[in-house]
Amino acid sequence: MSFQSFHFLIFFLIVLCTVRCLLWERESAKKTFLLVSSYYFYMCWDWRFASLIFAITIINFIIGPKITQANSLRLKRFWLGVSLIASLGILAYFKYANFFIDSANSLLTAIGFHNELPLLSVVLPVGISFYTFQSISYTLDIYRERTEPVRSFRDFALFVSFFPQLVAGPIVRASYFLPQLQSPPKQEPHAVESGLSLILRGFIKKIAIADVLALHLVDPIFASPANYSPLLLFVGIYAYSFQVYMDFSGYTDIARGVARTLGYELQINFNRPYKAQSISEFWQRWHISMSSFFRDYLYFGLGGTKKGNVYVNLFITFIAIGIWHGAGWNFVAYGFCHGALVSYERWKRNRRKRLGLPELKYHGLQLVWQIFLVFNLVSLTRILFRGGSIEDAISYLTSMINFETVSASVSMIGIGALLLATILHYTPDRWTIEWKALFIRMPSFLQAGFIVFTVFALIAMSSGEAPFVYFQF
Amino acid sequence: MNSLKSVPKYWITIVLAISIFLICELALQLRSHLRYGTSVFNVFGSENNSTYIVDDKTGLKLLQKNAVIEGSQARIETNSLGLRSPEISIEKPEGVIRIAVVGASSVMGTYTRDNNDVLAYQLQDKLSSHYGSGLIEVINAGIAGYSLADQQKMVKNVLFPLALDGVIIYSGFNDLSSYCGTSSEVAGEDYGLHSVDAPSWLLTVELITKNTIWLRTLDSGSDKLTAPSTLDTGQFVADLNRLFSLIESSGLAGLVLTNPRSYSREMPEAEQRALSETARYYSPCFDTAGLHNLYDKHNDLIEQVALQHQLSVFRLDQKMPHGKKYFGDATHFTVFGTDYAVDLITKDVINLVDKISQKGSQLPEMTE
Repeated sequence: MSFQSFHFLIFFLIVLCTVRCLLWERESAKKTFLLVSSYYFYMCWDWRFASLIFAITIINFIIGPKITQANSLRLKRFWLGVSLIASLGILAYFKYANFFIDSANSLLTAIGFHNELPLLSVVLPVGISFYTFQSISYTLDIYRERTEPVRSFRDFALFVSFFPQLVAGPIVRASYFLPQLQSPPKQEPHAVESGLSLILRGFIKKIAIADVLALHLVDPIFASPANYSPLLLFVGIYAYSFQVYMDFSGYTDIARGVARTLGYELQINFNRPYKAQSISEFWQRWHISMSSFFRDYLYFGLGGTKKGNVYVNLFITFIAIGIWHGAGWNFVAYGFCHGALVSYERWKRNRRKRLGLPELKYHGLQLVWQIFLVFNLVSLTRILFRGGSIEDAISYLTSMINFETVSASVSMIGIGALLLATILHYTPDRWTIEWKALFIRMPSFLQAGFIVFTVFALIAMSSGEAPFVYFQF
Repeated sequence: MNSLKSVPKYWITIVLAISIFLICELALQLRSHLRYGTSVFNVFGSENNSTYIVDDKTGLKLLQKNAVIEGSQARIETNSLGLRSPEISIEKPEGVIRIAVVGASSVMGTYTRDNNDVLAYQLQDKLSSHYGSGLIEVINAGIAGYSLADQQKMVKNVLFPLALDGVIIYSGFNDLSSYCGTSSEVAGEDYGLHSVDAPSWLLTVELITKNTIWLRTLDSGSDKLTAPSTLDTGQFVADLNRLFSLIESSGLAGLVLTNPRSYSREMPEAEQRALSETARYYSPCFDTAGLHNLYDKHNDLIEQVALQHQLSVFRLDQKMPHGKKYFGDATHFTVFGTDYAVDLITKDVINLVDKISQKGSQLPEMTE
């Protein structure tokens, strides 16, 4: 049940009406209803994997109190280890088993063995990376004494499976969401209108921009890069950068909007990532819930800047981020590139510090150039992300430096969508806030007209139910 | 008024949004009802008046029997068999040759104003003026949306009991839309709970999507396009074989027409795109070049399989001119196009009738 399906529209209206009209004052019934709805939502994707979420939920729910009750650090570590091995083991089996087998086969062949290990016949459950990480954030937060074990199994199960963010995040931390379930936060007066404006914004980003970019620029260019001029290949990677951003941040907006209408808040996941002045800053603005997860639980766990070699810690963290996205050497290379870039920036910063020079600050044209440079670096590494394999990425890069005459052109609709995406991304932040305030202030009939007009426009632009890019992760 | 003030604003917004949507839908249904006599209102009449019914005996989709479905822009009169055809007696009158034109929307005449404008009626006129009236009966056995499998069932269950002498097959290309199904549809692997789809009668969605195809057209080179050369045409050929072998084994004389289209390779790309819009609506995974290859490939298959079953073939796709004058959309004829097509095929149909006569029945008197 994708967000852009008719099925979801009906599902959401039923859930919203039930929660707001019948269960708003009955917290316990509301949570039970949302839990059942969330499992139904997931089973519409694939009913077989509901048991997987249930298994991950039960494992971590049982282990949580054991960590608190353990009377020694060793025992605490043991229980945390059990939680991580069990949860990440499930993730590894479904997501990475064939990658490891395939890599082992390549290695064996390279050293002269010709008996190949058979590949497993496994289907990747949608959203597994998201809900696995969400559940282990619970045991990790308990271990770090940031949260208390939750007594209600239902609350914990709802935290793991809450449908707005179940299949593509944001990765909500236990310490952020469980308190909302225990004592619901006071909502702003126009929470539903504000939620609806977020949902509309998310759909516009997804269907009117991301899908149009994919259809008219990204798919044709990446399908046969050799047919395009280097200039258009740059347009292709810029378009892909904006496609991924609009697609994923659009999903996050819808998820946050839906959650808000039901009385819950989810974390912000993006903060204008292409305004970053460095790669390090980019990762503070891009998929914040994931990057902060890796920063807090892996990078700091490895020692961060305090223990071990900071550069090794950075490389490990970024390679893990790459692998989180997918089981393939292209994702390893993607993580490695970002690790190298962030390490270089850190080395440069440390060097300036050692030399007693002030931190670099950019202004005016220099600032524009720096932002453009960072955007280009991010976009170039995205070739690894989109290409499917390292060979595909190399073929794209080779075409970028091939200046032979080629004939293929691109559609003006795609160029228009790219310009629109760029303008929307670089508009001042306050415009977004003003847009939300304007929508809330509108009289009901204008709000309704706007909703219907947007729905009609989205039907016109929707190229089927194109899945969100991050569903594959 | 006071009670309305206590209702949260968002509920008023949501109810208003649903109301606006319903008003738009209602307006479109009303428009369709007035123009074509078909809408969702048909279902709510005193008796079930929906345009189509599913026949209990055959499981086939047929038109409402003995009905007049009328609007300002179309009038469909149906017979007791649920066909857009004059009433036909089960017992064939002595000395009459009966031919059926089997197919889908082009044969049924979805876009023609009157029964008299459809292909079968036009053909009846031509044959009547050639052989004299009352000697040849041409049955319009086309129903919109029919696949080859449906056409086979139509021939076997509805037409055979009418003691046919000959069949003209103008199959249409409804089968081709299956090539653009989603991967899960194609693989048949779906483990999700039952999904609720938008009702097919929602005209708002249809109107918007049909008129904005240009926004969603895949560009040449897109990796989401399907190359016709990679298609598995096994199912299509198997369905053709079943239909044609049924005709061959029954000893009926048969004429098979290939499927023409409004756009040609020689036209400027923009014109081809404009004319092929409905084809791209039903087969969105092909660009115009792909559609040319797809249609040519399947017309070739129709010819090959028909010849294997000793059926005559008329390459209507190669003889029919292209353009708006002859076609209302990508594949459906205008009234002028129907006349033109009938003129083109008349000679072959006369040959078919002559063949039937020589086979043993009666040779109609020529009336020149």
